[in-house]
Amino acid sequence: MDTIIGIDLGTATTEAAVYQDGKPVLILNFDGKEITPSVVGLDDTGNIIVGEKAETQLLLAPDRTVCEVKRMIGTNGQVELGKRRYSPVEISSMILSYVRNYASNFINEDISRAVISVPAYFDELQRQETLEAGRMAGFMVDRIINEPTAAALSYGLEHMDEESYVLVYDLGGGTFDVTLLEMFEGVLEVKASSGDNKLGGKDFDQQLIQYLTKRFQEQHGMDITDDMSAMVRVRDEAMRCKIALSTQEEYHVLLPVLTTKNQIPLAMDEIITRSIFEGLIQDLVERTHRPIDIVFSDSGLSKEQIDKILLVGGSTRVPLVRKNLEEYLGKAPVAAVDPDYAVAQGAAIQAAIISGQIDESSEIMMTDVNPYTLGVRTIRGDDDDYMSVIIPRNKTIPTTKKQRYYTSWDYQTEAIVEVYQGESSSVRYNHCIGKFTLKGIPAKAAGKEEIEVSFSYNQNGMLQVTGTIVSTGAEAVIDIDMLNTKEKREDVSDWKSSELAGEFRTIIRRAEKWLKNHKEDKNVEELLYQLKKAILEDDDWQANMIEQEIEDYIG
Amino acid sequence: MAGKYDRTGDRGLHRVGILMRKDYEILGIDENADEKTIKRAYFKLIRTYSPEKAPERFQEIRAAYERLTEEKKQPENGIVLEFPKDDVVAKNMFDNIQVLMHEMDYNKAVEIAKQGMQRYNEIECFLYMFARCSILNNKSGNAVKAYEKLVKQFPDKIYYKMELAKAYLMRGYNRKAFDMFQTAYTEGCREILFLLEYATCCVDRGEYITGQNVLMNLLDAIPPEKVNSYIPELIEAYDGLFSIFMYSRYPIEDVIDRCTAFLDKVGSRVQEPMELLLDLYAVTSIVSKVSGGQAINNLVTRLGEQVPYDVIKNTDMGWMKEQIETEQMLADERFSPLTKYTVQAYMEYDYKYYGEEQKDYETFLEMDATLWQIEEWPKQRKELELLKNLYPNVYEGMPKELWDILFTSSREQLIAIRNHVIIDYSRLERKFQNGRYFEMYPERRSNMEQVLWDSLESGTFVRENKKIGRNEPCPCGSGKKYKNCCGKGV
Repeated sequence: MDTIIGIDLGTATTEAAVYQDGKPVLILNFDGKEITPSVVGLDDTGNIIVGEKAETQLLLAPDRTVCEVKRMIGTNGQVELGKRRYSPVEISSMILSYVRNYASNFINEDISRAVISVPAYFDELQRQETLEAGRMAGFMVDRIINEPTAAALSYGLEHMDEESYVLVYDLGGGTFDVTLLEMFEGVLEVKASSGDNKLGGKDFDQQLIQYLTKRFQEQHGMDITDDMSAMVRVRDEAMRCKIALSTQEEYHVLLPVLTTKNQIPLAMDEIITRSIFEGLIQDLVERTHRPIDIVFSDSGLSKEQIDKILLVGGSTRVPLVRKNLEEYLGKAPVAAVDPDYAVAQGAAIQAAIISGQIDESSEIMMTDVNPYTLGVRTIRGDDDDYMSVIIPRNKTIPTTKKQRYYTSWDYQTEAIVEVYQGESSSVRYNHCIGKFTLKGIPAKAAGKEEIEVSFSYNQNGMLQVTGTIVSTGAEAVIDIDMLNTKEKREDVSDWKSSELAGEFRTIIRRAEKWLKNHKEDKNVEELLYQLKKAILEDDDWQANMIEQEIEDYIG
Repeated sequence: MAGKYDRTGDRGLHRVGILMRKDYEILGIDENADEKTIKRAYFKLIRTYSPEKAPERFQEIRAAYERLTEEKKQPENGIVLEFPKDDVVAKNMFDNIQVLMHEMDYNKAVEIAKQGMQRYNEIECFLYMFARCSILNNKSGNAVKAYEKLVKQFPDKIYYKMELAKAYLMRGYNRKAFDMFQTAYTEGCREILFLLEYATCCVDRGEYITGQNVLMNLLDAIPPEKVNSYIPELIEAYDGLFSIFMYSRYPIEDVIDRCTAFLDKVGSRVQEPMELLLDLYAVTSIVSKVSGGQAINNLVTRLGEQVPYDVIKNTDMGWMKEQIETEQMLADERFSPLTKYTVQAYMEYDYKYYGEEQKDYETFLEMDATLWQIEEWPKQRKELELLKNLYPNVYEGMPKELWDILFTSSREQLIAIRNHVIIDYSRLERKFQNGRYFEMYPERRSNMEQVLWDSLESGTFVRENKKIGRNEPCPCGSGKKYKNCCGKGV
């Protein structure tokens, strides 16, 4: 049996664990440490270095070092490393292959299978890219697991016999997740999860940096926000300040010779008290309330029913976070799991469940939920973009749901089933993840024929959609890999055949010309594709919008 | 004798008997098991049939568990149905209907219910199932008839009166619906959705004080600990109360306070039904402009905080402006009922029907208002000019053709247009029945056949609708045979 390891690929640090002798064990890296900074760099000779070594050169050679790449996953962003540009996926895969190397060394076996954790609120594209990074690093990725779920698993393993409702509050470097679980005799049932994928400790830093630079400008009349090397030092100091304020009441920010003005050296000298810092981040901390509200209303539980609040993620060390949470929920949180290791350990437990090392019928097991609402496009009243929900979000998976629909027009013989994911009641704001046409409907008056649409969502994130004509029993089926919903590219080369072509010919020619000189620019490439698609679909309005965007971009 | 069956409250599916029994079987527990036992059984079973190892079986277990726990949460919902005693066939039929309903195959469910009615002399259990499935199957006519029978047979069961009122409304018999709503309400029916629909009905008929009382009762009917499960309904209720204020100017302070307390309680959860929240936001901003005061201004600010900027950006703000002006205009005492009715017909969306029927209904209302306007012309000229000056967005929002017809046609042209429109109007009037025009000008109705006759040069009488047989149900919806009702003496 191949060993499967669990990996917590974090924004700031990465950990890995493996299940041995009935418990998860953290894997030591080549430096003999459990924690590997998620930093990648090029050394003086141009070799790629990962982890601590890369981190030490972050200040000295910022142009050759990359950190916090996880925040860019799922975007078209690029990072520069020396002379080459890399995608966030490529950088992540470098970290993962480093993990693969040290894990193989530690376990003394060629490790090629892994469970990788992601924030619960990662969207499908971000999950897909994480999966891709794993594959590039030579892993067969058995499962993508949500971080709070993993943390709860590692907690659950140690508290098998308790019956309780647990709220996992996971505030990491870049994302916030909240998950509500029910624990019952060793079974962990996820009731609901939600989050904010753009909220984390880095935003706290950012607030502090803004405050410091503003104060600096007030004192010395100098704006240092464009001064790269000064800003690197401020950022570093801000982070140190934030960490210090978790245990002490004030921190003295002192950066001598931060910059010079008329050859006179200027220093940043500022006392930051905890209350100043808390004033800066109050709004950010309160942004966690809405996701908390959502998990309560989706699960139908009330705040009073919660037995335990688990804190996960480094940012939960900030005292205000705990204080605020206690005020909001009326109960003090516990940090019963080690916030740094819990996720990796949980991923290793999930790996052991998959490999069969853990027996679900006697040891720990868990059920999960689907993170997004799934439905089809329908007509309601005048609105032909209505999202008819088939599987609401936070439903325990695997699950199968059916819904019946009626024909909309007289003598309608075809129906297009368009599958969407998202929370808006208008499909326009949701994400189309697949469509198919159901043909051969008997021609009758509107509303006389019924179509049954069935959604089947399994625990591997596969969605099977079946459309059935009720009267004839004819079926059409589509399988959608929810972990692989990157939009399929259609052939748009035929755009000139559209009536709209004339109107947009100039902008397309200009954009294509511009692209020749800016080959690496993925944004314009994407916009150009979208524009041609809109033209082919005769969507005048959309095309105009994109034209404007391209115009803004290439000037 | 009667057997007891449970009913899950207000929305959607009806879950009863057989499924429940099967659910207990799946979990391997006794039918009297309490919540704790159900939970224990579920967690024990899924250890063996985990999502990893037995996804199919897991789903079965999970579904049974969800249904049973849901059911345990609302023990207060239950109605007792008359049932053929110790009759296996009846029991099977009844179980079958429930399974079909659960599978949403209402056609078949209706069929079986019909068979049951025939076989057991319209016994309550099948009559009720027939009514319920008919509603779900969009056959409101059948439902109306069945519920009428049930109300007659069981005058003590308020539940049937409530359902009958809803069925009337669905069928478009607004007057009957209103009366039935009133009966059910006086007899103590306080179901939330019922109250909402009744209040809407009241407002439509200008019964503002009743509507206000009904909605206040709705607020009281929801216990504080259940507020979170009724967020959309509460938003609608507050929306209704603020709209009624625009017409009747009752003391609104209490409503403002309660709405503010409601926001405090539910926090950002209020954002879930975003469309409803937008409506409430719009109507409160109008109220604050009309009435002023710190409390309402604070409320509007609070609501505004819950509406994210990008949502406002994506909504058509022009529509908001029109909506706000429309509401203001409808509350303006300077305008006659006719002008208000016309604005309502053209500017407000009425969700009574779906699809093609909806379009017909809108056309019908517009024709209704237009015909009335033509009759009152040129008396109306002044008022419409006032409308143009005071509420330009409303005026512009209505079709230009209407203004062209009224302002530029001669008396003769107007009469010609009227006679032409009446043909189509009469056809739709027979279908929807709740127009105001024939009510105001009954003499026009008698001319109808005449107009139809004259308009065809060949002189051949052409029937617009299918001929109604003497023994067919009367199209007026009374449930009697045609020969005994409107067709008497024809």
